Amino acid sequence: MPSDMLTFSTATHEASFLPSYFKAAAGSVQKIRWADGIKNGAVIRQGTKLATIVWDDGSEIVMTPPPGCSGTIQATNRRITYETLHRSPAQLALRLYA
Amino acid sequence: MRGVILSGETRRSIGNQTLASRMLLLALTLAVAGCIKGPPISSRFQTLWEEPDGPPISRRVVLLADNQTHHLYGDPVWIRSEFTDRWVASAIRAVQLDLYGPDLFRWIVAVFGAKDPVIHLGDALDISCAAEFDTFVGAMRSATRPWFMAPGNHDGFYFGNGHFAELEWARACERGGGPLTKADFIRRYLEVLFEQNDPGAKALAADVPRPIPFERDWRYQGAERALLHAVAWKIDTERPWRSYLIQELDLTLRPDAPVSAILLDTSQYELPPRLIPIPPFRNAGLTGSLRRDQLTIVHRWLQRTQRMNALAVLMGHHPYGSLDGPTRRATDPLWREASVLLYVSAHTHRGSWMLGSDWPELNVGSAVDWPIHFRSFALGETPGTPPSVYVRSPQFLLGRLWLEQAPSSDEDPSCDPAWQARSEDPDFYVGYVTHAALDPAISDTRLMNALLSSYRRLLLAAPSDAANHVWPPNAASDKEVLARISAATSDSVPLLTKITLLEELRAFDQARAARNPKAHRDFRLCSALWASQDDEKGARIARPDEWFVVFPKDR
Repeated sequence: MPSDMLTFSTATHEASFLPSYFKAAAGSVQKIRWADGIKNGAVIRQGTKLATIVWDDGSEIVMTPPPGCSGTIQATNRRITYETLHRSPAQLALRLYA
Repeated sequence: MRGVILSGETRRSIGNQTLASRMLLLALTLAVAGCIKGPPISSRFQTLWEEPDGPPISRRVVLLADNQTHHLYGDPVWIRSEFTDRWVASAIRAVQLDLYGPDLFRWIVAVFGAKDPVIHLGDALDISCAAEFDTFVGAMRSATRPWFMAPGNHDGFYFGNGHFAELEWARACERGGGPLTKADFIRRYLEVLFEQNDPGAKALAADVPRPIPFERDWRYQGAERALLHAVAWKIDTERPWRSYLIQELDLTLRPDAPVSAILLDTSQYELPPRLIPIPPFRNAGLTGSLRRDQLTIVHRWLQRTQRMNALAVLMGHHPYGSLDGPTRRATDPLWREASVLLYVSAHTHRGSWMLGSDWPELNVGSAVDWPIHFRSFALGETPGTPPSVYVRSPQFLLGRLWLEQAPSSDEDPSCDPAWQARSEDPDFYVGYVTHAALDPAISDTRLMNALLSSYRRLLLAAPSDAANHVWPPNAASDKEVLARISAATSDSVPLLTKITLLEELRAFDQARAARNPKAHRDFRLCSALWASQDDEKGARIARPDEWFVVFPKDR
């Protein structure tokens, strides 16, 4: 369950997609499907299934919180620009309540 | 349906309608401006703020169109005089946009074609010269993923209008490899298609004998996952306007939900299209058309997708509303009978959704003309019972990507305002709009002078490195190149001498080592962007979305 695609900022309480991860990936992200219940108010901790990443060859991997990212979700990004995940600036994945 | 397109009545916004069509559209625009708000969205469709949670069902593709690569160094032709431009908004385009536009297009293809396949929806060329095709393909080769295209009215027809005035067409393509008829275009495209890094394209290249046969209906039989699944073409060298090329791309992501995109050729005509469309003749810029032979194959392919329970998306250059009556009568049943979800078109240069009729349509804007934009395209499934299909198609505006975001890496250009030509400069991007010469040689002389001045600006902004050893004839330093440019801009210098120097400068600039390669690249990209901006209105204006304006202290 890879979590190295995300980075967490304790200052902003935001988890963001790491462009370098997606640049190095051979495939192209077709969709990031948030898991059932991952929305405002949900409590997450290490190992929680956040989402499923669907790649262009049809394969899927599970996205889990990066180190330090645990708490109650304030918002999830549901307008992700998959086309530029491999480019800076990093896009927001989710924000936790402080 | 056209009301949506026509309602933006700015000087440069008429789109890719060619000579006669632009005149007609201009008149129509003036007549209806302010009256048409566009058709309301049908209640069958719903727009969403957020992406639904359901699974994706198609591979994502990048949609590009209407870059209209232009050969700058041909002989003067009346269709490109300043006088004509007075009546037809885009008879002439800012020469910096023609010169540097391919750089800009290459940037889009390299960045967005790094992860996703690209579909070009036509009008890759402008006059339809062989050199334009070579420049276009050179840019498309910067894509890491495969690319495909549906021909537009500029791809094989003179200035996008038709097949006429062959001598003048040859003059316009002088020093540009000669005219490319529709038959030539299809042959050249197929040769490039064979090179694509896609199992379908490789199988096609292996199956098709050389020289390329005049007619073929080919289908991929391999087991490896491929985008290209079918190609059919007819190359009619006697009547090139009857030639066609159609392709079927497999965009399936999940085996249980097959998706096909069929790229139509909407520039196939019974009779040679002409500038003035007196019936039964058409103007290719005004009217799209598919003949029975192409439609028969499309119908057969769609029956196949229906048997597979696949979703089909049709893509073609002309908007549905500008297809001729017989074509629409023939394609209307397809919508009802063959699970066609959507028609994706281009041609207008403006881009829009048209969701008011039985034929829902997504129109893709120009990748070079302002507002420089392109889209991606994918299908997904909404959760719930019964599930619906949603289209995800974000629009990317280059101005926003570059100007409203700080450059995030060396990949993004930095536009130094000192590089920008001002209205009093000899290379001001739209200086040509203040003239109205009837003689195209006079117009071309002014345009070539602007180009020479632009090269001067480029050399000063991005000088050659001390180690550079590539120089144009009769020069061995930037100083000597600048001296040649200054001498050539004199009015007494013949047009052909200016053109010859410009061709030398083009070769020099492509090969030379600049002291700062990023500044060299960025100058070209930023000049294309500024030229595109000014060309839209035919003037430098302060746009509502400007962030910073400098005021002089002394008045």
